Amino acid sequence: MRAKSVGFNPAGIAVDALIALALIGVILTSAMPRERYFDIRGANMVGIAATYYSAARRGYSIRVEVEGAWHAGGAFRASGKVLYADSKRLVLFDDEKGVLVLSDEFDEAYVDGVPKRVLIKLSKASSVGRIDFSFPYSTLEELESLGEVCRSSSIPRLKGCFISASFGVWLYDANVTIPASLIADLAASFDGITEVKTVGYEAIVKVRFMDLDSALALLERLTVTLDREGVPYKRILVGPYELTLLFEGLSSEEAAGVVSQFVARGAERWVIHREG
Amino acid sequence: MNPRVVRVAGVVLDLCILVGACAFVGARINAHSYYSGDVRSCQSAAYIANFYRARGYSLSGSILGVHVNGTIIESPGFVLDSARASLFFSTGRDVFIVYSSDQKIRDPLPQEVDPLRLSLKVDRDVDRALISLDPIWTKGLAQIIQKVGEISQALDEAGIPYELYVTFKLHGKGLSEAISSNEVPIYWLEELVNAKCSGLFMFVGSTVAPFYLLIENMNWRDLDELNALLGQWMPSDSLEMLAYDIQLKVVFSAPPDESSKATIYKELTSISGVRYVKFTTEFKD
Repeated sequence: MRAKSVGFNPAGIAVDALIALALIGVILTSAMPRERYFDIRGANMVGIAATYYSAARRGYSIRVEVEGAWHAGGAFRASGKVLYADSKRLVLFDDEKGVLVLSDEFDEAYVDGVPKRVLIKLSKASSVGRIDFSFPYSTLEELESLGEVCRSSSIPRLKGCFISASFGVWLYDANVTIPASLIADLAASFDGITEVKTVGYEAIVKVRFMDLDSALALLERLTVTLDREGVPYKRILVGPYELTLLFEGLSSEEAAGVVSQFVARGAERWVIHREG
Repeated sequence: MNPRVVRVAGVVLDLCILVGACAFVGARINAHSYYSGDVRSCQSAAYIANFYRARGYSLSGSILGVHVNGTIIESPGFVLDSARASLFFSTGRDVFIVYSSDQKIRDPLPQEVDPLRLSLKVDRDVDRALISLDPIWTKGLAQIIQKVGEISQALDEAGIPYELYVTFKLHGKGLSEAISSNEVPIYWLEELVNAKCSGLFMFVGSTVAPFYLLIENMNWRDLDELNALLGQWMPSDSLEMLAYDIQLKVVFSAPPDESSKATIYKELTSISGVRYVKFTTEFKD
């Protein structure tokens, strides 16, 4: 038997190196977030929400482009950041059109339109795109002062300031002449999700992802209407609320500065999102 | 072939067939006592939960969904209670109301979660305790909190970590008068409590004919917050109330052994006002 000589074959080494490089490449590309998109046809609201949250949990920065039809008729195109998505609704902030509530169901007056095609674009998140704050229940004056903060230039690269809250109008009399549908219609003329319940001595107005200034304007319009109708009310009650701030892209230091400003004004909890 | 080997092979084959037949019969018998799977619709999840809970089985699992405030909820937990199309799903400290998104758009409750995925599986390795209390006259919630505190101390004796959920109703003449005379913004209070506390707080009745307040599956640690809110919004002379239909659900992190159970039972039944203590795999009325 003859011993077989074992030596280095340059071609073999080259092939091994290529395989090793390919493996490293595959591992790196699968581990690192990269530019990609999902194209969802039709008003598949569950699919849109599931895809959005799946991407958000993986830390992507998300931008959505929508083609759809207005509730009132006619087509639209919009693009922007997602404020909220669930199995029925998609709340989108478009820089030009403002807050849009899209749904395949038109039962509620606040629904703006139905999506026909949704393009969810994902890219690597590099900066802070959104901060959510939770506040305890407070007064209308405190809310107005927060509105001033949002309007001032002390917050860098702020795109929008949105509130999710319940407001209560505590009336003196039950079964007042002002109909519930009037309050509901008043609220629906503002962007965002609005729900109204009038019962007993109270009218509860719930707003979600409504521009803070719009919410304050809604309350003013509501009180003016009550005054003109001659309906006396005891108080306007402001419940615990969440404030959502959207940014163009903040550094961690700037985000910390924004957080400290709102903590000083009573924010109890906050969540910093990089995915926007 | 050696006839002995053939005989042994025959016996082995018979045994295999017997074992297979027993496994098949066993699997058929147990087919309805075990479930593990994922569902998106809470209506399906509620159906599954109702089916197994009615037969005394517990369900644990995990939830992926969107909280009404927009946060994504992704957490393991267990089914605390179920109704026709909704679930009380506890992740320990928090209790979420999972509603059926197959329903039309509607006004959700503050602790509601719209599910994107619910994983459920029958959990047989559980032992829970259901405690019923006699009605208590209480000033605010002070007496209820005191009683729940006594029960908690008794449970601590066993040294097994647990979570305690409270369900009860509150009724009072002063409370009814305060509501009907517009001294309390009751629907507003309902919103406030539901936003601040776990479980469900509901006013049953109307401002014309107030009936009772219902507190359902609230983590006992939230009772102090609820008490503070009631004290803040209700006139002090209407805080004298009768708490009734009081049920405490104890979920242990691990099943207690027999001696621990005996200790817990002895300690709990020695507390005045404890109507009964029942160890069970699932809370059934």
